[in-house]
Amino acid sequence: MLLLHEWPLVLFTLLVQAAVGIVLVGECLLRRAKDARLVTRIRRQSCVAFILFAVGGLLSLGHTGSPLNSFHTLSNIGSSWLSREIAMLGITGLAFLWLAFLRWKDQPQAAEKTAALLTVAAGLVLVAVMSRVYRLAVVPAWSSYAGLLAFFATVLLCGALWHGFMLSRSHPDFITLPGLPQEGSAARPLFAAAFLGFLLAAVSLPLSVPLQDAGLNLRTALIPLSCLTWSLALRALLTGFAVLLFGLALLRGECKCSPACATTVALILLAAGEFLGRALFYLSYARVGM
Amino acid sequence: MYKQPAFYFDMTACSGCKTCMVACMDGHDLPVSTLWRRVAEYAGGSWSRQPGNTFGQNVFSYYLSISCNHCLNPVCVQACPTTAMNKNAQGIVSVDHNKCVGCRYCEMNCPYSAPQFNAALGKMTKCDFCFSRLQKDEAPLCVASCPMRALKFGEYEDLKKQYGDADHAAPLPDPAIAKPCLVLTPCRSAKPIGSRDGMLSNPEEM
Repeated sequence: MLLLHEWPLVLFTLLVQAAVGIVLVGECLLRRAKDARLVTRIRRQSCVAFILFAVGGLLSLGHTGSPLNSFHTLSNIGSSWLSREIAMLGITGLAFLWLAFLRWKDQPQAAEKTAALLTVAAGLVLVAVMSRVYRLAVVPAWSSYAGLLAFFATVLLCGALWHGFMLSRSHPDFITLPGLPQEGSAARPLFAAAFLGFLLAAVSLPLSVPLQDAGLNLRTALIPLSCLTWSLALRALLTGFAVLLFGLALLRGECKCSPACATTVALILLAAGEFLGRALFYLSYARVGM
Repeated sequence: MYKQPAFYFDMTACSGCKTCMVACMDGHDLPVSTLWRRVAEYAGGSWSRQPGNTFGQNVFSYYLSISCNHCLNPVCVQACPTTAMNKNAQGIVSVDHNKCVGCRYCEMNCPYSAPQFNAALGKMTKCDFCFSRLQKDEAPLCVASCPMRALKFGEYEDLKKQYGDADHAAPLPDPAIAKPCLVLTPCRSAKPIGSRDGMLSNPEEM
C-alpha cells in the first residue's frame, strides 16, 4: 500500500530530474552544434523539458492527502527540507517556463543564455535539495549519500540518452563518431554524460541497501532485504545494458542495428531501470525505532 | 496547565492487556488502522541443552505502551513543511488540520510512529495528550483506563525526579534523536536500545 502511495513521488522525482538533465545536456550540445536545423531541434528540447517538469510537479500533488492546503507548504522554509524543496521547485519551474518561452521561437533570443544558465543552476540545486529531503537520520538506507548520487545519475543518464534518442533520428551524423569534423561531434560529450551517470548510479547502489543497523525496525521495511538486493542488481543490469547499447550506437559501425534503433532500445532499458531503481529507493525505507 | 507534560510507563506493571490502546481508539473515534497509542510485545531468547541432559532458557517478553512523546526536539515539527505540526505553549505536539497537507513527511521522520495518516481525512492525526481532558483536570484516556496503573502522566521534570531517569529499552529508538518526554521504569528483562536479542511479536498491532 505504501508503495502505491509513493508512486506519485517516483514519477515526480524521475520526471523533474529528467527535465533538468535534458536542459543540462542540451546546453552542452548547443555549444557544438553549427547547423541551423540542428540548433533548432536541440533548442526545442527545452520545451519538452518544461512539459516533463510541469507534469512531474502536478503529479507530486497526488502524494498529498489534502492538496488544497498546498499553499501552506512554504511556511517552514527555516527548518523543513521539504518546504525548501517546494520553494526550489517553484523557482526552477519559473526558470523552465522562461527558457521554454524563449526557445519556442525559431530565432535564438538575446536572453536565452541567461535563462539557460539560470535554469541549469536552479535545476541542479533543486536536485541536491530533493536528495536532502530523504537523508533522514531515522532511515539508515537513506542516511548515506546514495540518494544524492542516484538523483544526479538520473539527471545525466536521462539527459544524454534523451538527446541521443532524438538526434539519432534527425542528425545521426552529429552524434556518431566516424566521418565527422571532430569539432562538430556530440558523441564524446553524450557518452561522457551517460558514462558519468552510470558511474554515479553504480556507486549509489551498494549504499542503497539498508544497513544492518541494530536498531532497525524490520516491521517498517517494505520488502525483504534479500529481495531488495536482487532487485537492485536487476536495476544495475538494465542501466548497464542501456549505457552499453548507447555507447555502441555512438560508435557507428559497432552496432549492427541503426543508431536510431539502438538509442530507442537504450532509452527503453534506461526508463525501465530508472523506474525500478526509484521504486526500490522508496521501498528501501526501513526506520529505526518503533 | 503543564509546562511540559510527559507519560510515565512502568514496564514492571504492564500486563499487555492493551486497554490503553483501545480506550484511546474508542475515545477519539479512530479508524481501525490509526493507532495513537500502541503496545509493543518484545520477546526473545531460546532454550538450550545443558550438561547433565537438562535444559536451560533465557526467554523473555515484555511490553511497551507508546504514544507520541511530545518530544523536546520534535523531528516531526521540524520536518513539517506547513507548520501544521506544532508544539504549543503547554509543550504538546499537535496537528493543525487547517494547514496539514497530508504529505506524511512527519510520519517518515518520527522514530515512534506517532503521526498517523487518516485516509478519510487526508491529513495526519496524532495523540494530543487528550488536551481537552487536561483542561478539565482529567487524566488522558490511556492513563485513566490502565487497570494495572502502569501508565501515569505529569510534569516531565517531576516524573523524572519521582521515578528516575532510567535508560530506554529496545525496541525504542535512541532518545538522542528526538529527546522524548517519556519516563520508564524498566523491567528486569529489559534489553538495551539497539539490542537484537528480541523482536516484535505483534507487528500486526503496530
